[in-house]
Amino acid sequence: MGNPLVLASGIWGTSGLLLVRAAKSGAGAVTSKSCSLQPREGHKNPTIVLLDGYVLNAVGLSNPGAKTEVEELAEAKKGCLKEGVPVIASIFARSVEEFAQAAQIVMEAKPDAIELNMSCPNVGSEGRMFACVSEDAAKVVVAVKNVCSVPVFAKLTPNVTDIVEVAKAVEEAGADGIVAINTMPGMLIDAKARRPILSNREGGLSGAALKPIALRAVYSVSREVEIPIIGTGGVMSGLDAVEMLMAGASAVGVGSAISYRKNALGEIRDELFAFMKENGYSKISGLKLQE
Amino acid sequence: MLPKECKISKVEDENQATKTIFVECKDKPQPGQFYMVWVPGVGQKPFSVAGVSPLRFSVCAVGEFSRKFASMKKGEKIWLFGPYGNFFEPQGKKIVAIGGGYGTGPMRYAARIAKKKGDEPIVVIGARSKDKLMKGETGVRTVFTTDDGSEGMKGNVVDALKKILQEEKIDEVYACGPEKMMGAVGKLCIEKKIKCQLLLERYMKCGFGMCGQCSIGEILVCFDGPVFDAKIVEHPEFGKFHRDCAGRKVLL
Repeated sequence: MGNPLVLASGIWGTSGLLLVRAAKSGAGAVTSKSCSLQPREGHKNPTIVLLDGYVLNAVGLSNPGAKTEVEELAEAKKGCLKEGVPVIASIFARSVEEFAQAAQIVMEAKPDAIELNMSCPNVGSEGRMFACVSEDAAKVVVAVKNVCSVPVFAKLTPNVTDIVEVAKAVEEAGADGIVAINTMPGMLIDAKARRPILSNREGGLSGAALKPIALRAVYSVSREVEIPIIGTGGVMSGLDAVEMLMAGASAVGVGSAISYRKNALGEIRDELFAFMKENGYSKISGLKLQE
Repeated sequence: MLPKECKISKVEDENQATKTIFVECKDKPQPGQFYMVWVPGVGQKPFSVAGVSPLRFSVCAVGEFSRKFASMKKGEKIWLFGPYGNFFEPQGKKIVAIGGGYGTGPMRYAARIAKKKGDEPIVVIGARSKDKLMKGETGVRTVFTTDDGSEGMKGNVVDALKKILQEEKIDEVYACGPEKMMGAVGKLCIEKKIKCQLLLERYMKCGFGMCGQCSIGEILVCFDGPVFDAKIVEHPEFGKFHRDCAGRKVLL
């Protein structure tokens, strides 16, 4: 990777060419939108609310299904290869078996890695959140590792009693990396309408407000596992990225920032490198907390 | 920003299926900008601004949401997220603003603003037949076209544009309507070397560049537009398909 920024899953991933755009505009790696075996239309609008300081979404994992997603991924892969930017294919499923099947399908597009989205808060009763129970998370990792040859990353939720326990379980199961964190469950109500704003009533919180939660999760996990972490959650600036790396991340996910800053990826990358230069850091790995 | 609660102050019939809905809202967005209109319990969709003071939207009852929106009455409320997007930036004095179907709303607004500034707009409004035409803009030169000749010039808006371009010197063309119509207008303007801006419409989940649902290849209609230079018509995906709520490509 030319820089440690990773376009987070769910942003722009609808189109392969948009992933290429993210690669051209400053991402060191890109993640596609999570796809499932069958197409999903997601929830009705409103599905995404952008406010000062945070975003709440309940898109509901809409995607065209793994078979169609392969075409988008192949297009992304073709364009990103020219930029030297790896493509991470994100998958979601309702069962361990379906995770393995979806992984096999997206592998046709030759992604550089697979992200297991086992922590989306927006699917309600359709599927349990595998990342809530260590054993379940581990089973998904084992099943997917059995069918694919590329690195597998487990995306975890902070909304558990102990994220470290889940992280250790996926590491032991053979995960090659961890993406921490997914959004936090939240809700918005419009008082005058006397209704939740999101049609799904609840959604996942992202954006600046998520950063302290993400920093803490990444910090705690990094002290207990050896595998690399893509620290994701609330990174809006280069300084936020520095903090995430200091917390223990090896790479930094960028998502909601895209809607707050027209050229978020390029600017965050430049700010990160400017911070390093000004403060005498020659390597990303040098960004560490004082002992 | 939290959505703004707005009361409907007036509903005007444009034709059988299309209404223009006026709301009490102090915003003064530019022609081309749009809102995500939320009708609680029904849904939320993007709508281009069809005028200000009072703010208004032209709605054609085509789907579940627009049927409900178009049937709303004075005194009922809608909620607005926005305004979002870029807007028309006039690059000449003599402007032809072409509206197809409910795309006419924002075109009349653009023409009204141009007229106020002292420019010389011409509004071209087209439909299949007389009963499907939108209304003209008072005080602005207006040309109507219908495919069957039941009102105005027989033919489509592109025929009308060709005629105008033959007869007078035009600085710039704006268009909003079905993508195929905008494609034809854009191509003609590129060929004739006339500046042209197109106001695009796509299915959206967010309206501010996150979901990617409104993509035309690497371009996002909400984030990079919705107003684009005519050269967008040369994009291999333009006029071919859009993406549905699952992100599937659907032929236009």
